[in-house]
Amino acid sequence: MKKKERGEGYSIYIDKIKKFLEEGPASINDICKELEISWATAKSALEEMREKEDVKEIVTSNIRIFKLSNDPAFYGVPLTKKQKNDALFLFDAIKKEWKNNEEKKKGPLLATTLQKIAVDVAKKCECNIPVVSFHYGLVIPVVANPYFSFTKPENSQIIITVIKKTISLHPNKYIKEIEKQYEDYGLELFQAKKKITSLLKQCNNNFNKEEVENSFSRLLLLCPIESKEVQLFSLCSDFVDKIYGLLLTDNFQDRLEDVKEAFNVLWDFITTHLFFKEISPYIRKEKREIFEHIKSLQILSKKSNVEERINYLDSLVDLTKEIKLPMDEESIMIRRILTEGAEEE
Amino acid sequence: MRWFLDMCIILYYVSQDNSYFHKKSFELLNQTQGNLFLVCFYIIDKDFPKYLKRQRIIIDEVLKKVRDENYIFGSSDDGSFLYDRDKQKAEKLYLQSKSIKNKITFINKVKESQKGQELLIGYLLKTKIEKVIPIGEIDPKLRSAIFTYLEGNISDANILASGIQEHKNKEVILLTGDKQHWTKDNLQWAIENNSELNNNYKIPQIKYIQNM
Repeated sequence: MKKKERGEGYSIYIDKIKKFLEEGPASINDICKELEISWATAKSALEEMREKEDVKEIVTSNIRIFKLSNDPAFYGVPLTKKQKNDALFLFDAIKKEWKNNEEKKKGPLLATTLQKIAVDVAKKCECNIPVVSFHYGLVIPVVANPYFSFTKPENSQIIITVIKKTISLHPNKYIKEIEKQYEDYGLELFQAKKKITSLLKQCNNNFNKEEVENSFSRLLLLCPIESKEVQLFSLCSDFVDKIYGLLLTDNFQDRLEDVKEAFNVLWDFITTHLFFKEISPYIRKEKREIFEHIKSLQILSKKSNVEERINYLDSLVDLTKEIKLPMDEESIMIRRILTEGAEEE
Repeated sequence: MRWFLDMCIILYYVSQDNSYFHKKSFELLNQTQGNLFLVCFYIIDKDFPKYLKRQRIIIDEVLKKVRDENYIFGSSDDGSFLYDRDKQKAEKLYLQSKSIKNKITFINKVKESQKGQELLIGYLLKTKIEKVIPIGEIDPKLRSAIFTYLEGNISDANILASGIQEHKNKEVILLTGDKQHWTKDNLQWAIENNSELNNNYKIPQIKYIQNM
């Protein structure tokens, strides 16, 4: 590779790198292979692009990954250019249809409504636009980014027809849109979360211990259990333990704000886990390694946030008063089983 | 009276299960006049954390089974920490779940019980019990001698060594429910066969909660 002269820059590679990154984030090595350039050239070109804010570096412990600054995929996951294009077209078509037919009756289109309509349409069209769980239910994991250009996909007419049928079913009210989606798709875990959030809001005035217990136990009943690698279930269970600790020692209400904050952190972790699990089938083979790096970066940092909050909640429990445990027959039997073999410990 | 407690005495106390063992432990630990209750650091720093972790895993395993009856106890990463007796507990709790009207109620009860016991242990250690013999101060010769007679139970070897060392500082009574390992014979064999230990240590009295 001919060495660049001082001041000549790396502009001849920049367009090629941009084009390659339109297909999703890549490591320096991937760029070297694709463009058949040296590692040093790729690195210098990327650094020049980063200075101009054309690319961002996704920092990981052992690999340097770059993505386009205007890449609209959530967390920078490596979706294909076509997946992003079709999603952006979908958003745009919904916006146009809303403007023409719904805005007078229902007001300007809310961002939530846009996402909820997009999910309905993507599901009905059975196109290759990803639909995954995120913090407030199912979403198309793409930001409606005006700086990422798009074209009409082949099935644009089908998409527009489905939008026309779907759009009128949406009330364009934040809460109703969310409830409608949870109901339509049977999103029980999200319903359980909504219940907890609303209970925590009310707890300042009207505190019903049993209702709080039930709502957290329900969350645990619905929490994914198959996620070995992130120990999601055991973390949720641990979190619920701390809630019981605060309830049993009568510290719950005094620490309500801490509980709310900690629960938000837990929910962020749960939904991030769901996001990566559900988007995984949409990721093509050659981008799996990059995907795994991005995933572990997000999951590990959120997991450590949850652990920190769990430890903090544990520290809030007052151990100076002796608590009385429920003496119903079933609880006694459970404790009898738990204590079995104590002398062998 | 200075009582050097085995871990099981605390577990009986926190069981709140109407059993004879609970009643006896509860009565004793609430007779604070003239009594001092001691627990060694080995129990506090090593055995309790491990025990509580296993209890939490047992509950998680049961909850997984409650959600999916095909789930096999011990098949998760955490589940591999469980002993066979823990898996038997999990089986029994799972059977118990079937007699409770719904899954949510079962989770409430099992969580309340497990967390409640954990909190009570914390309460006892904080308010009623004095900690003695830091792990680093356990006499390795004494521990090793006891270990030989305890079928490889390193935990009991450490605890009993702590108890005997504390007895050397000031008289204690060892209190346990374990008639199999915490026996005078075991301690006599361990100490009397070794002249150095025999000169250094005396065997404290052992009492069993079931005989009190």
